[in-house]
Amino acid sequence: MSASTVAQPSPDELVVVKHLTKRYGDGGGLFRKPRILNAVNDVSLTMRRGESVALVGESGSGKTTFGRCLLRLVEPTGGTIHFDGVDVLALRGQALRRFRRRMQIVFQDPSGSLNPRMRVGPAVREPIEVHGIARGAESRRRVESLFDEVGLNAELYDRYPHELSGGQKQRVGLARALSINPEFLVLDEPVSALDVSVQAQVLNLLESLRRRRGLTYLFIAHDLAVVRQIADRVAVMYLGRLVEHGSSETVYEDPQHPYTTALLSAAPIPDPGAASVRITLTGELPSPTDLPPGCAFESRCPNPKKDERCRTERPELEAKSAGHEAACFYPGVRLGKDDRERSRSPAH
Amino acid sequence: MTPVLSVSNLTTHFHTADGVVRAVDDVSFEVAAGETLGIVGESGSGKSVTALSILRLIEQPPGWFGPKSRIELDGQNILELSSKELRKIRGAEISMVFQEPGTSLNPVLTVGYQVVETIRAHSKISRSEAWRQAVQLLETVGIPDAPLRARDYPHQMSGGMLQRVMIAIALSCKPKVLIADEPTTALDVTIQAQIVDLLIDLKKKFGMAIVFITHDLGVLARLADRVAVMYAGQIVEHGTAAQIYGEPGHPYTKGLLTAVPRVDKRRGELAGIPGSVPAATAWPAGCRFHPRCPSRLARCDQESPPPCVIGPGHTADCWLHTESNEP
Amino acid sequence: MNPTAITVLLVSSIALITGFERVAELLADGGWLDRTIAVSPFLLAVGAGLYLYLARTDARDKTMLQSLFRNTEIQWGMTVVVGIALLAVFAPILTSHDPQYALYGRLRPPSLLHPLGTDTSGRDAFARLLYGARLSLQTGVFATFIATALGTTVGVVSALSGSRTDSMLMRVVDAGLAFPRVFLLLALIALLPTVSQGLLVLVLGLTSWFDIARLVRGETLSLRSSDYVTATTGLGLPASRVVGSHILPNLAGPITVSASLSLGYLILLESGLSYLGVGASAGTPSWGRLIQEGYSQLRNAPQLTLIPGALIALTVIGFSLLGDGLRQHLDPRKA
Repeated sequence: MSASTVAQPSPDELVVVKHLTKRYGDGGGLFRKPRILNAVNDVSLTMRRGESVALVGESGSGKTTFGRCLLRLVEPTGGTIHFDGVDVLALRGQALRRFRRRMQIVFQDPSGSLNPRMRVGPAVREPIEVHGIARGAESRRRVESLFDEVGLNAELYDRYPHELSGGQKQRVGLARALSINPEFLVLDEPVSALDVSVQAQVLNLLESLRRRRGLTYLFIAHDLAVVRQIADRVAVMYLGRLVEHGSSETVYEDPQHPYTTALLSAAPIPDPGAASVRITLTGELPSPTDLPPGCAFESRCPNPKKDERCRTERPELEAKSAGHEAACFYPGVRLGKDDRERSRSPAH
Repeated sequence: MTPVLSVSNLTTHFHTADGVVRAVDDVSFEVAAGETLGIVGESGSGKSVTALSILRLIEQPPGWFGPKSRIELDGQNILELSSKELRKIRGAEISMVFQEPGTSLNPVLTVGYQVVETIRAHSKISRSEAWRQAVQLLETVGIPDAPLRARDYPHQMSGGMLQRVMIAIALSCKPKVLIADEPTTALDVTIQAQIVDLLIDLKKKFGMAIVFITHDLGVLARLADRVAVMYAGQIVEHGTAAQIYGEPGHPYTKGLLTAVPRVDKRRGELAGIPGSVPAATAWPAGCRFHPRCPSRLARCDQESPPPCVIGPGHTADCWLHTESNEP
Repeated sequence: MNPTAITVLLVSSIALITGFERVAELLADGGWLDRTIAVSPFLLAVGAGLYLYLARTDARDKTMLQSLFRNTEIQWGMTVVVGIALLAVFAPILTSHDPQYALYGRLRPPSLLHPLGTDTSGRDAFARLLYGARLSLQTGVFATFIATALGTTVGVVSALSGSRTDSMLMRVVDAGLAFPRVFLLLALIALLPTVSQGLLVLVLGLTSWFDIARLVRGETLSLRSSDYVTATTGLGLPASRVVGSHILPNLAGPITVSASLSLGYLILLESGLSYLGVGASAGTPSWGRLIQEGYSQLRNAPQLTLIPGALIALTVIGFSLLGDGLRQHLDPRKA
């Protein structure tokens, strides 16, 4: 192992990210000062083998950038990423290329993620042959078995992407990612662009694949309902920072950070009988290049306990209970008159 | 209650080089004043074309309306109006809000000006009076510092703000019907919730009817009084929100409801709907849903089922219900 | 009814009918190239005929090629271009006269034997027109090929390298674009006693790659940020493969458009230069030279100048239509 191996990672921690930062900036023009955007700001996260960790947030939260940093599709400005003990950021050239086999990404937009001029069969076959896993007839057989695994008809091998439906294209993207047998998958909003009925099919597929292949997922999404369906643990991001983090059940049942509570209450429920308290966020989003010194959420925070400290000091992640952290000085406050009682409402 | 908007036998086809796209086939529904009708469907269901058809925003050719189609607003058939009369109705009696606020607004005009534009297109008032009304509208839709923000350009405002501006423009002439085509789909969840609340609020204030088109069953549950479920260009089920969500009659509706994940509880494996929406140039014979239907009967691929009443004001187009009731 | 196919059928049939004996001659004692040319009108006529017969039954074809032809501009552009190309290819069949040597009477008026009459030196104008077409088209094609190859390479390299190399290359392109090309060419003429056709092709090609380079760089940059190219990085594919399988095939569209438009322009440029006497020697016909030679006889034998002129215009229009049509076809519809 290289000298930059993390000291004593526990064997089941597959991906260990510490203090990851991605800064975009310009030096400033002749008449204005430099603008810096911290798309990802000091985020630490650990993913254990076989886990499905969800990263949720709205637009501008930095979740997509984070995912791409993990795969070094975007180079982080700071922090460390260790995959199975190996320092990912230290890899170069050939070593990096070979390492990429272990982690893959599935994109949000099924149309954009496939080369329009390449038939889907050869597109899935290409990485298999490039990495020397198989050649000729054998590689073709592997592609066909991958198609079968993701629920695609083998006769689609010679089709072009534009001849397939959204769901089928997404499955091809999945097959391509799985072709080189990765251990870790970053799923960047994989079902957002799909119809509801297809979404369910793909979510079920993702779950069964994970179980069968022992994969680890980082599931990036903005849809909390989808996340609840698929995630073991949930991490919530706001304007580049991690604001809450815990197991799926604890975050959904007992959210600590006011943003998480607001997010949960805003998520629509397909049940007209479900009375829910709308925690309306008022106030404007601060400009991401000009963040206030204190808590980034302060300008819209509905927490009655909010005070001057929130404006001047930045809260760090603190554990409220085992494995459940939130970055708030006054966490766990019940917002609104009645809270989410009807999670025990008559079921469908 | 007499309906303010009544659509009967609406058929909209498109004649393209690839064949005839039968986007909307024989669709009928009504909306009463102050009522919100939700039209829910996935891609290819024809819901957006239906919305555009109501205001005749369909390019003819290649679009084509079936001869029996009628869209009645207060007794007048919109499909038979002259373009001058049509222009008087658009924006004033029926107005529309679209999905992408960013592209629906002119980037080189201030938002205030765009509201004024619509106001002055339909009434002869002075520019200063129109501006005053515009600012007031912007306030009503929840834009803070309205007098100041009215002078902003679209690129200076966020998606949620822009959508509010769109709503302000749509309501500027106090329309009888507001058509909203996926107005919240492109917005973040917290902003989406705000816009939905705003619409509920405005409905109380202005009393207009709303036709809300979406694919999101969650949003509709909050907003809709009645719901029409569309699939493959037809309405397959129609009823009150409580009926549709509580006792769905059509297998497609049932399928959709079991396929939607919920934020308030984790479900077991999501039962999706197998297969995918067929191409609009070649709808399946008989019931268009039959190739994907888990409860298919023998006759489903032969004849198209008629609407069957399964509750007060609740109909489903499905052969499974003919044994019980036919209207 | 596909006008291109109709044109192919017509021209091939006319060639066969009027040039029957020449076909026989070519088949009998020509080399392999001559024999291929001799056989081609027959094959093309049959092919076009079959196509027209089969295509008339169904309007709804889904192949990509068919959808390409639905665009009117592409249809007509192709028709003109293919028509003229066929004239060039069938030259030895359509006429038995020699285009280079003065073997016939001078300034004969148009007749059945000499469809365009003869020129001031006693050469058959029609033969010179057809063989001139060959030269013009060849020059255009090769020059465009050079320009496209060079421009694409520079564009792709520029887009995929670091910002320093990119800036440097783009400054070179800017300089190239700023330089008035026609003056460079005229300067060349002034400096060198004779400029061979080959040199002309080279010079035309080397001065026409700048536009394409800029275009290709822009397209490559946008391709680079697309998800599927990002995926190739994620999949660990080597750069050569990314460029070869993923970037170049998707550049094919814009490059084809650019090349079609360049072709027309380069043919025009070549005609202008050969009018000035640059390029192939006096005997070898080229449309520009034909115009220059016939100019003195504009009053009594206008066809010597006007017909080549009209054909140049037609060729340029044809390529412009084709390029424009392709651009329309690619732009809003496909990704």
